[in-house]
Amino acid sequence: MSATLSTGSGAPAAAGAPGSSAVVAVRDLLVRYPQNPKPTLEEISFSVPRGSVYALLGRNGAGKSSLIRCLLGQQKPTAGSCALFGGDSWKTRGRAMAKVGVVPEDPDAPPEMTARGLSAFCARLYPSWDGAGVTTRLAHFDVPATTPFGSLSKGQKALVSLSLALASAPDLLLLDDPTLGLDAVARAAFFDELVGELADRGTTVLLTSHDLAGVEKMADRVGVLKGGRLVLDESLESLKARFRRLRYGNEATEDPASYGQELSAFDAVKVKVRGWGIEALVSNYDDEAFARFTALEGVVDAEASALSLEEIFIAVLGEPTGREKA
Amino acid sequence: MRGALAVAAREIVERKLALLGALLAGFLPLATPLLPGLGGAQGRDARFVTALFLSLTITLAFPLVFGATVLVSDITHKRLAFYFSRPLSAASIWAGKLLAALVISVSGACLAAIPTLLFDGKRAFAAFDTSGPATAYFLLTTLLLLAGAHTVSSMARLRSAWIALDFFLAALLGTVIALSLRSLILGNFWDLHEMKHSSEWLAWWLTAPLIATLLAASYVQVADGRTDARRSHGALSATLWGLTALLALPLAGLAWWVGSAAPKDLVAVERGIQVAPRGSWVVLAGHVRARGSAGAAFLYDTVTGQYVKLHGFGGVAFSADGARAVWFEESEGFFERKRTGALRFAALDSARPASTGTDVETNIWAQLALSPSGRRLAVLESDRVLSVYDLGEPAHPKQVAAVKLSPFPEPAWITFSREDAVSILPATGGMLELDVPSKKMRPTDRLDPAALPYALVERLSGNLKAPKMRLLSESRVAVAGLAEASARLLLFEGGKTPARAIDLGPAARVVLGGEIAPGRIAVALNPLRSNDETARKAWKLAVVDVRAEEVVSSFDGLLPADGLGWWRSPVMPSTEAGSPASKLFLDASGALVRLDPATGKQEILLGGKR
Amino acid sequence: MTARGLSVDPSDAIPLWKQIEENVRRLVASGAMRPGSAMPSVRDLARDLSINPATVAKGYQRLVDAGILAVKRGEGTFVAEKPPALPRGEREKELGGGAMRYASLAVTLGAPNEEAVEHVKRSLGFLRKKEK
Repeated sequence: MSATLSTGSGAPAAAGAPGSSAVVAVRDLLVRYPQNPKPTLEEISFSVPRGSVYALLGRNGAGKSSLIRCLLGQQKPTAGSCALFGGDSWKTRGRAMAKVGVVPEDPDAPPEMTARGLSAFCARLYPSWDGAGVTTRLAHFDVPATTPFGSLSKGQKALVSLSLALASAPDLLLLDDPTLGLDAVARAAFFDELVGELADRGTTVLLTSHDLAGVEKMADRVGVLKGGRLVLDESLESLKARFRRLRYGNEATEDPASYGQELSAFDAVKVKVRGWGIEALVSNYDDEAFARFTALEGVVDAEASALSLEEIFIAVLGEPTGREKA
Repeated sequence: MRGALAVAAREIVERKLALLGALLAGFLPLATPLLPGLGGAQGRDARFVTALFLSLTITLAFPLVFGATVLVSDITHKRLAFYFSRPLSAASIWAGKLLAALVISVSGACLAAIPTLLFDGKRAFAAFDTSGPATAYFLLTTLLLLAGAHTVSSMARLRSAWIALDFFLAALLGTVIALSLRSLILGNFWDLHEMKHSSEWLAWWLTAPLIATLLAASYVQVADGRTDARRSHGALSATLWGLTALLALPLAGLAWWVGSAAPKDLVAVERGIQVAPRGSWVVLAGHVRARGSAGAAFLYDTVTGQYVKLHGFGGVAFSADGARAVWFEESEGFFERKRTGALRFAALDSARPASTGTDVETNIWAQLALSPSGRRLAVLESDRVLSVYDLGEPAHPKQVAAVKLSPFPEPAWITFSREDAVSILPATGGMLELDVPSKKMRPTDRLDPAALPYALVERLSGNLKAPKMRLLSESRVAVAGLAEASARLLLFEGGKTPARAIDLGPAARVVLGGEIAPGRIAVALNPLRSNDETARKAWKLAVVDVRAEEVVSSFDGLLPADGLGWWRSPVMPSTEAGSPASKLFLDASGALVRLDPATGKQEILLGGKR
Repeated sequence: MTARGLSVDPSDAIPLWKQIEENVRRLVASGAMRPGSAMPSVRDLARDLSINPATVAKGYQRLVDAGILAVKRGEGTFVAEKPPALPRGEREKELGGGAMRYASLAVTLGAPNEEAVEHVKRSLGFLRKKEK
C-alpha cells in the first residue's frame, strides 16, 4: 500500500519533502526500549506543513505516545530525528515549547492547582499570554475555574488543557486524544473552539484521536501507525477517493474460492462472500475502472459506496487482503 | 532564572500546608508544662527538651521527605511533562524544584523554632551557636539530606534495571575510595593529627564534593532523562558513578603513587638511618618526595640497591653479622594504626631479601635483641615479660623461654651476652642474666662492655658533655664529647682509663662515627648549635688516626649516617671496621653518601634535597 | 448541519470542499441563493458544519475563481450579481461527470433508459420553472 500516494490538488506537501515550511518533521525515527526486542517505532518519516491539520491514528500500543514524547523533546529517539519549526526537538525543546500548545492524553497538571492558578503560572512563562481568553473559554466549556485540577472529570481536564494551550497563541497545537471522555456537548464545544482557532490563526495542528468522525471533518492528512510503523501517510482526500466498498454478484464461476479474482484492478483489501453475492473493500478505486468492471462478464448488480474514515481505518489495520466467509 | 523562580514559587505554594504544619508543631512544646506532674522549672525544662527534639526532627525529616518526592514523584506520576511541555529550560525545572525543596526545608525548621525562640529564646540562643559556620553547616546538612534523599528515592522508585548497577558500582567505588583513603591515611599522606578533628576540614573536603556530585547527577537526570523514568535513572546513575569514578580513580592513583615510594624517593632521611653492624644494609625512614606528608621506611642495601619495605615499625634488630633483621611491624585497623604489631623477619643474605611474617605479636616498641648467630631472639615487652625464641624456622619462632621480670627492677636494656644467655641491665641496680636453657635469672657481676653501655658511657666519659660511645672491635671503646668548648675523643683499650685522649679542637656539637678503616675513627664536629642550612653546611668530618693521635684527613659537610638518628642513644650501634656500613655519611644536602676515605671520593646513594 | 441549506456529508467519498462548491453551485442555480446575497463567513460556516475552515475556504475560493461568489474587501463574500455560465469545455466536463454518476445509479438500480431520461427531464423542468 502506497503511503505517499497523493492525488487531488488540495493535498498538502507529500511526506518526505524537506522544507522549512514544515512545522513538524520526523525523519527515520527509531525508538527502541531495552525490554522489547522489537522496536516500538521504526522508519517513521512524515511532516506536517504550516497551517495543516494532521491526524495521527493508530490502535492503542501502536507507539503514538512514544512518538509524541519524541516530538515534544521529552524523550530522546534511539535514532533518527524529530524537528519542530526546523529545530531538533530534543535540543531546542525549551524554545520550541513557547510556540507549542499541548493537550496531553494523560492530564499532567498538578492536581491541587485550579485552572485560574494554572493560567497565572503559565502567564509567567510565555512571552504572551491571553489570561482573559482562558476565562472566556472555560466559561464557554462550562468548566469551573476555581476547582482543583485533580477534582475535574477527564473531559474537563482536557478542556482546561485546551484553554491553556490556546492562551499562548501557539503556532502548533498538539492534541493527544483530546476528545476522550468528552460528552457530546463538550465535544461540540471543543471542536467549536478548535475551528475558531484554525479560522482565526491558521494554527498547525497535530492530533491523535479515537474519534474518527471528528478527525474526518478536520484533518487534511492522515497518518496511521501500526506495529510501530507508519503504514499510511496520505491526504484525507486522496485516501477517501481510492477506498470503496463494492457489492456485486458473480455469475461466471460457481467456485467461491476464485471469487475476487476479478477485483485485481482495485487492490482489494478485504473480500467477503455473503449470501447475496460478494462484498469487497478496495483501496485503488476509480470511476472509469468501475465502469469497465460493471461491464465484465459475470459481474452483475455491481455498486460502489464510499467508506467513512473509520471504515478505512479498520480496513487498513485489519488483515491485509483477508478473505473471510460470512 | 525567571522560569526557575516561577517553578519554585509554584512548588512552594503546593506545599504550603507543610510549612503551616511546621509552625503549628512548633507550638506543641509550649503545651508540655500543662501535662500533669510537670510544673515550674521542671516544666520549662521539658518544654525546652521537647522543642529541641521537635526542631531536630523537622530539620532532618523535611529535607528527607521533600528531597525524596519533589522530583521523583512527578516522574513516577508522569507529571513532569507539565513542565517539559512549557518553555522552561531543564535547568529552570531542576533549579526551581531544588530551590523549592530547600526553601521549604529551611523555612520549615525555622518556623518550627519560632514559638520556642519566643518563649525560650535566651536559652535557645545560648544552646546554639548561630554565627556563620553553624548556619553554613545547617544549610550544608540540609542540602546533603535533600540531594541524598533524592538520589536514593530515584534509584528505588524509578524501578529500572539500573538499580543492579547502582548497587554494584556503589559497592565497587565505595571499596576503592575507602581502601584508597585508608592507604593514604595509614601512609600519613595527610597530616591527620592536624586535620582529622577539624570539622571544617570534614565539612568541606568530604561533604562538599559529595553534595556537588549528587547535585550534578540530579541535574543531568532532569536535563537528559526528562520525563522518561528509565532514562532519568540512567542519567542519574551514569553521572553519579561517572563523577564518583572520576574522583575515585585519581584517589586510587594517588594511593598507589604514595604507596609505590621506593628508597630513591626518600627525602630528609638524616633522622631515620640505622646502620647494620656489618655488611651494607641500612634502615632508612623519612618523608617521600612529592607525596604530601607521607613517609616510608625501608631496609636498604647500599651496595646492590635491593630493599625491603617496612610498614610502621619500632626499630630493627640486626644479627651481629648483619645477615638477619627482625622488627615489629604495626597491625593496621581500618583507618588507624594499632600499637601492637607482628614480628617480621628478613634474611638479608638471601638472593632476594623479603619480609616474612611470623606469628609473634606484641607492642611494636618492645625491645629486640638477636643472638650473635642470629638464631635466637629476645623480646622484652612493656609488661616486663622477657621471651626468647628460636628462629630455626623464622615464620614460626619457637618460644624457648619466657620470664616475668616483675620481681626484679625495671629493665632498661637487653642484649645477648652469649648464644644462650641474655643480659638485662635494669634502670637501677646491678645487672641480671637469663640463662636460657635453665630459664633461671641470676645476678652477675661481670662488667661486660657489651652488656653495660649506659653505665659505661657514664663511667668512661668522665666530665665530657653530650658524650657518645661506640664499641669497637677487640673490646676497644671510643667515646667522644665536649670538654669546655672543645671536642675530645677518648679511646679505651680494656682499661678503665682512656688509653688515648685526643683533642679535636673547638666545637659546639660532636657526632662520633665508626671505625672507617682499622685504627681510623670518623668524628664530625660543628661550631654551631643550630640545625639550619648554615649549620648543616658547617659540619666537618675529621678522620682520626688513633695511633698517631692526629687528624689525617677532613671532609666538609659530612657527618656519620646514623649520627642524627631518632633512636640514637649515648651508645651508637657499632659497625665493623672498614665495612661498607662504616663508610656511610650524610652530606650537607641530607643525601646519603659513601665515602672512600683513601681518595675522598663521595658517591651519592640517595638524593637529599629536603 | 445546515447553513441556509448548505450541508455536507463527511463520510461521502466526495471531498468536503467539493461538496461545498457543488452545493453552493446548486443553491445559486436553483435560486435559493440570490445574486448579491451575503454568504456566511468561512469561520461561521466552518463552526456550523464543525469542519476545518481551510476546507470551507478552499470551496469558497473555487467558487470565487469561477465567478459564482465575489469577495468585497472588508465586507465579506457574496453571491455574484451575474453568476457566469461555465466555459464550454468546463461545462461539458461537469455535465459529463454528473451524468456518469447518475447513469451509474440508474444502471445499478436497473432502471430502463427511458425511465432514467424521464427523471432527468422532470428535474430540469422543476429547476427551470423555479428559475423564472
